[in-house]
Amino acid sequence: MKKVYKYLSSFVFLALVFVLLLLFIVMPKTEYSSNEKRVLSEFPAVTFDTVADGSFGSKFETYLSDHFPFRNFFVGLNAYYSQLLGNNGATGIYNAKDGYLISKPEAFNPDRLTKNLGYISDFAEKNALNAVLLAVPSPGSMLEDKLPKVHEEYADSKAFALIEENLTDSVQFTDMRDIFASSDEQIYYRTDHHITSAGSYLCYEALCNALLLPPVDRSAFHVETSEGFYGTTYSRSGLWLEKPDTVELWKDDSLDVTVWVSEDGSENEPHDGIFFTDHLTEDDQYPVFLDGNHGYTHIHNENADGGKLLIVKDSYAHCMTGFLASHYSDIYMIDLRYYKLELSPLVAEKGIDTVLYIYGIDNLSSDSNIAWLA
Amino acid sequence: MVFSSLLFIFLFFAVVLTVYYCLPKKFRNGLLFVANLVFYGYGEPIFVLLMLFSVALNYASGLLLGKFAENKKAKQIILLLNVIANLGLLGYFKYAGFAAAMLQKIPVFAGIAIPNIALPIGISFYTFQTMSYVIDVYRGDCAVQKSFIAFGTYVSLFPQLIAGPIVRYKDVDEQLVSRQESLEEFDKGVKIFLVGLAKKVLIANRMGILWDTLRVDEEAGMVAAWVGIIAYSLQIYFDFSGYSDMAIGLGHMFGFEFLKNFDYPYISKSITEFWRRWHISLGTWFREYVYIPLGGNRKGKVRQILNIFIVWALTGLWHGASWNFVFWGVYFGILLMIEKLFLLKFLKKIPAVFTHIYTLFLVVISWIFFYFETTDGIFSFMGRLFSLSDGLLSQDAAATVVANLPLLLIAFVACTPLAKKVHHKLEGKPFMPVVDAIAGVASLLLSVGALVYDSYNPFLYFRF
Repeated sequence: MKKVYKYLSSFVFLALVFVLLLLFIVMPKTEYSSNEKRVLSEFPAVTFDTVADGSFGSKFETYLSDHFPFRNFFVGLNAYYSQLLGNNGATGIYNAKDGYLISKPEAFNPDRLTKNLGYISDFAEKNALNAVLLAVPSPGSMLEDKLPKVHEEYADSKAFALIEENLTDSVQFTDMRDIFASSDEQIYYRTDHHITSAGSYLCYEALCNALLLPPVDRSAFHVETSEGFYGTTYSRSGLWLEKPDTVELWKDDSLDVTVWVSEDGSENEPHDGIFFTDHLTEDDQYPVFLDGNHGYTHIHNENADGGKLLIVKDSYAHCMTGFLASHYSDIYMIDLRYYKLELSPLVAEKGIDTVLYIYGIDNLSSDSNIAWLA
Repeated sequence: MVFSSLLFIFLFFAVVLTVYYCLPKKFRNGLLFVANLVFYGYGEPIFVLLMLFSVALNYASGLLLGKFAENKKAKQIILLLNVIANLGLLGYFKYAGFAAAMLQKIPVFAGIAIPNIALPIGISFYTFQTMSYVIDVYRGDCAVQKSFIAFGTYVSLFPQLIAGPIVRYKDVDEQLVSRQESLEEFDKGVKIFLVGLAKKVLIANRMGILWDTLRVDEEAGMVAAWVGIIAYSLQIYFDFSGYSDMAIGLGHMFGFEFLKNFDYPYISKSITEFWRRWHISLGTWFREYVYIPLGGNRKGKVRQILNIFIVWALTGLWHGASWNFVFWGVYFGILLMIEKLFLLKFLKKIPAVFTHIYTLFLVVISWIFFYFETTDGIFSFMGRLFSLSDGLLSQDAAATVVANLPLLLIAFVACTPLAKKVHHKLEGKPFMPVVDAIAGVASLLLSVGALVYDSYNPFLYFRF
């Protein structure tokens, strides 16, 4: 026993090494990492060729780290250790005040933004559409008072200035910054980069204002809540001890719509209503709104007065589009990252007269897929 | 394979260690030899053949030198052929591209093609090791190794195979055949290994990220450029010395004792002292096998200066096949000459704080030549260090610097022998095994955390 105590370092070291090795061998392997939203690597094929050219070696290393025992614990350990060292933001996420987890600024690409604004104007002009652009400001720029005192600079003001300068008159611009700033509701989720239902309602009101529609009053909705929403900034942060968010579903009982989703414009299985509540059992509950990202989403409302709307968007649109559904008999929501067909024929075929562009400002400044409009 | 990986620690090391201590002594070298080849060949199996060739070549040279022990002429020829063959291999794999690029600049050779040759890992290290063996046998400083397995084990020994230290054959000669593994040695090895692991993963890797961030941001400002190059200086030291520590620690675990390779170089008070503390095994090698055979300081001042110049140009070139490394070596050669001629005497008279600043400044500047391979790169970075045209410190860079300040301070302290001294004072106290074990566990778990995090790639929602 005396010897064990004297050489405690060695015993503890060997115990850790061998226990972790053993667990790696015997523990059942998970195929899918819900935190990362990716399929984990499979055991690589062992053949003479793969071993000889070294590809087995590198793939096996990936396999080992993908399936290392207590992988999430170690990711969290690394994240909290960085916090302890004062390196807030080491994982790309600031651990901000009041439980907000906020992405660090994205690199600003003015050339890309200018080009994207060009595509947006051209498409509206070419198809003679009434057009509105809404760009959701980044959480970091709106919640600056919650960030660490010395933090990297968000490019929102530069990006919005560029929009005001370059967007042609054919597209109306809806600026949410002042509205968000003067609201005392929770606009952004704490653990996700998206905006809440309350934030989306503010966007909806602003869009109605631009489209000359009377918005449905808040009192028409009853709010149902779902606890335990852990969003994407949470997943990236590794700060597993942070509190989850609550997702609010603003339900308007008079709204009766049918939704079809696909990547290529086909309409197979109709879904009743805008909320896909199956997703409320997952960690990331945001896809409850219109089933998350799809190339093509069609919302049909029998009772609406009419009007056909095209929405070209990223995921920031999912929640606010639900509100718009009561005004249009048909909304076609297109995500250019997945929908790779030409859009003008759709506009002509469906008789669309209005287009909304709804993007988070970071995506609007960086997404190269907006070029598909041209 | 590298030590600072999950694969090495939890699979290779665990398996080799288990088998090693289960085998009787006489089979242990054989096991190590095989393990070394697996270790070496894991990433690029093809180069195992090259190393085996090098082992065979030098093993045979040793045997021949033994056979012609009484024949001076024959020994000279054997040595000459051996050195040509070793340097030829190193030259072909490491310097052929560089040489061809130089030749291209001469009109007659303008048509020469630049060969595309992959650099086998560790070739600079093991070539120097095998040469130390053959030269020492030639000189009669050590006996011929008759066992191919033992010699192969020495050349390919995985702890020091890919990043040193450069172990001279005569230093491990006896250990190859009769080494005494013990729990005491093993425990020492575990501690050194874990210190090295923490230096590499917890300090060097993070300093590397800091340097990359500040280097790439060209509008970061003057202060950021200085913090950046200091971070790089720390990265190089903790990376290299951490790797050497891991090598030395692993050596102890398998019963080997290697000489220390770094001795707190950043506390030096002169460049001369710095090079006595930095990469000691390389300096020793060049002194013993180049500088002294060239005549060292025994043939007059002029010849000594020439010898220093040659040794340092070669030292630079050893680090990489590019002119910036030659320049880096010559830069130190010149500084060492100046110190030798008169400056050292002066440095001894002035307060220590100035000598520290003098040394660190010159060393930090040297890493610029080490990092940037082109004159453009060197000049533009120098411009950032010495001009205010981009301001002092941009907001983004300030955020980066502030976030890394605590680690920078830890790294500064870790450059000094402070922790070692405190540890030494407390040695033997009854609670020390617990303290050591806690520190060791922390080093291992935090390093594993960092290594696992490297593989953690969340897809953003919008990319899903």
